[in-house]
Amino acid sequence: MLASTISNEWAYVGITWGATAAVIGGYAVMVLRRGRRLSRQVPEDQRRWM
Amino acid sequence: MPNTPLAATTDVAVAPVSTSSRGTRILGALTLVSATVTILYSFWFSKADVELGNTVRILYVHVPTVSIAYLCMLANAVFSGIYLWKRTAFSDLMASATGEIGVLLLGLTILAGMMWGRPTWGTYWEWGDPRLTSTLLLFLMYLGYVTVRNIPAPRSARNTRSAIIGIVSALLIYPVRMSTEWWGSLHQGRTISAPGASKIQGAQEFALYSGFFTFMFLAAWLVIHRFRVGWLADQAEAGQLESVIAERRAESAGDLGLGKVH
Amino acid sequence: MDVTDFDDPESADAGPLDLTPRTPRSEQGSKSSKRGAAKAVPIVLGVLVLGAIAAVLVTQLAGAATYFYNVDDAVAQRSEIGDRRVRLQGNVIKGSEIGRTKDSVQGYLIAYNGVSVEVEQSGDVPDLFGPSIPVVIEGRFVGDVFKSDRVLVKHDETYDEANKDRVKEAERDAERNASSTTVPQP
Repeated sequence: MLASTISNEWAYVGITWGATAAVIGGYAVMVLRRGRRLSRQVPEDQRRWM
Repeated sequence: MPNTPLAATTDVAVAPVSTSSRGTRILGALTLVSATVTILYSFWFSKADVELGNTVRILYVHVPTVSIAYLCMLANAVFSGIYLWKRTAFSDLMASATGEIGVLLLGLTILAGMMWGRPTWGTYWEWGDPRLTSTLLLFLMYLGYVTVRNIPAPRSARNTRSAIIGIVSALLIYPVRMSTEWWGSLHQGRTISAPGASKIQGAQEFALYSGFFTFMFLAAWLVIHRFRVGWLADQAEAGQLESVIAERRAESAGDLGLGKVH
Repeated sequence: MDVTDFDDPESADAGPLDLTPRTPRSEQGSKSSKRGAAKAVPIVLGVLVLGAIAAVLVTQLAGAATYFYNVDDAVAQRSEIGDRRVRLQGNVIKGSEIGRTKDSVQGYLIAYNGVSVEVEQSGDVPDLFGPSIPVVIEGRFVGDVFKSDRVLVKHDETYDEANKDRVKEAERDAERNASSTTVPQP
C-alpha cells in the first residue's frame, strides 16, 4: 500500500515536470527552426541583431 | 530542462542564418544554470512536505510558470497599448511574442495544477470554482489572441485587432489573482505575500524563488527569439508582396503599352 | 486628341483589372489598409462586446453567492439554504470520524469559527482527508445533518518540510484547531 502511494505521487510529479520540459523544448525548437528558415528568405541587412 | 533548444543555439553560434545573437546565448546559458539549481533544489535539497508529500514538487513548476505568464501578459498589454499609440512594428511584435509565450506558460500552469489537484483535492478539475474557471477564461482569451494573430489579414488590421484583444484580456488578470479572496475557492490563497511573512521556508522557499528566475530567463530568451521570427516573417511577406506587385506592373505595362503614360 | 478622348472612357469601362497595374504602389497600399480597417470594425466591436461580457460575468460573480459557505455562515443562513445543493467549507474535527476506511468515511463533524455541523458522507474520500484537515463538501441539509456525496480536501497556503521540526508542526496543528474547531468534542 505504501509503495503504491509513493509511485502514484511520483507519477503526478513526473508528468508535470516531463510535460513542462517537453512543451517548452518543443516550442523552442519550433521557433528556432522557423527563424532559420525565414532568415534565408530575408536579405541580410534586415536581420542584423544587436 | 530546455537542453535541446539551447544546445541548438550554441551550435549555430557562428552561422548568421538564425535568430541567435550574443545576448540570447548569454540568456540561454543563464537559463540553463538557473534550471539546474531549480531542479537540484526541487528534487534533492528540499524534503517532501509534511502534508502533501512529494507532490509539493509540482508547485515549483506551477507557481513560477503562472507568475511569469502574468508578467508576459502584462508586457503584452503594455506593448499593445504602445502599438495603438505609436504604431511601431517593434511594439506590435513584442506584444505578439509576449502573448504567445504567456499563453504557453499559463497552459503549463493549468496542467501542473491539475496534476497537483488530483492527489491533493481529490479532483483534476472543479467546474464552477472561481479560481479555476477564471483562469480557464484567461487562457481562452489569450488563445484567441494567438489565433487572431494567425488569421491572414492586412497587417495593420491584424495588429490593431490583436492589440485590442491583448488589452481586454489583461483586464482579467486581476480578478483571477483575487478570486480566492473575493469568492472563496478550493484553491489556496497566496503563499508568498510579503518578505518575512511567507508561509513557506528554507529549501522549499528557495526552490520556488529559483523557479521564478529560471522561468524569467527562459521567457526572456524565448521572447527575443520569437520577436525575431515575427520580424523575419513580416519582412519575408513584405518582400514577396513587393516582388509580386513589381511583376504585375511590368507585365501590364508591357501588354498595354501604357507604361509611359504615368 | 480624339483618339485619346475615346480611349480613356473605354479603359475605364473595361474595369479595374486594366487600371490596377497603373496605380502607384503607395496609393494601393493605403486603399487596401482602408478596406482592412473597414473589415476590422465588426471584429473590433465583437471583441469589445466579448470584453464587456467578461466584465459583466466577473461583476455578477462578485455579487453572487460565493463558491462555498463556511460552516458558521451556512448554519446562520440555514433557513435560506433550505434543501438546496450547496458546498460547505470547514475543518474535520479530530476524533469525530465514524466508520473510516481507506477510501471512505460514514460520518464526521465539520467546524468553522466555532460552529459545527454533523456530516453523513457517501462517495470516495481523498487520500489527504483526515482530522484537522480543511475540506469542501457538496450536498444538502436534511434536518440538522448535512448529507454529502462529494468531499474535496482544501489545502491551505502553508507548506513545511517533513520531519524538519516536529515542534513547529505541533504548534501549527494546535493553532489550527484553536482557530476553527473550538466545539467541545463529543
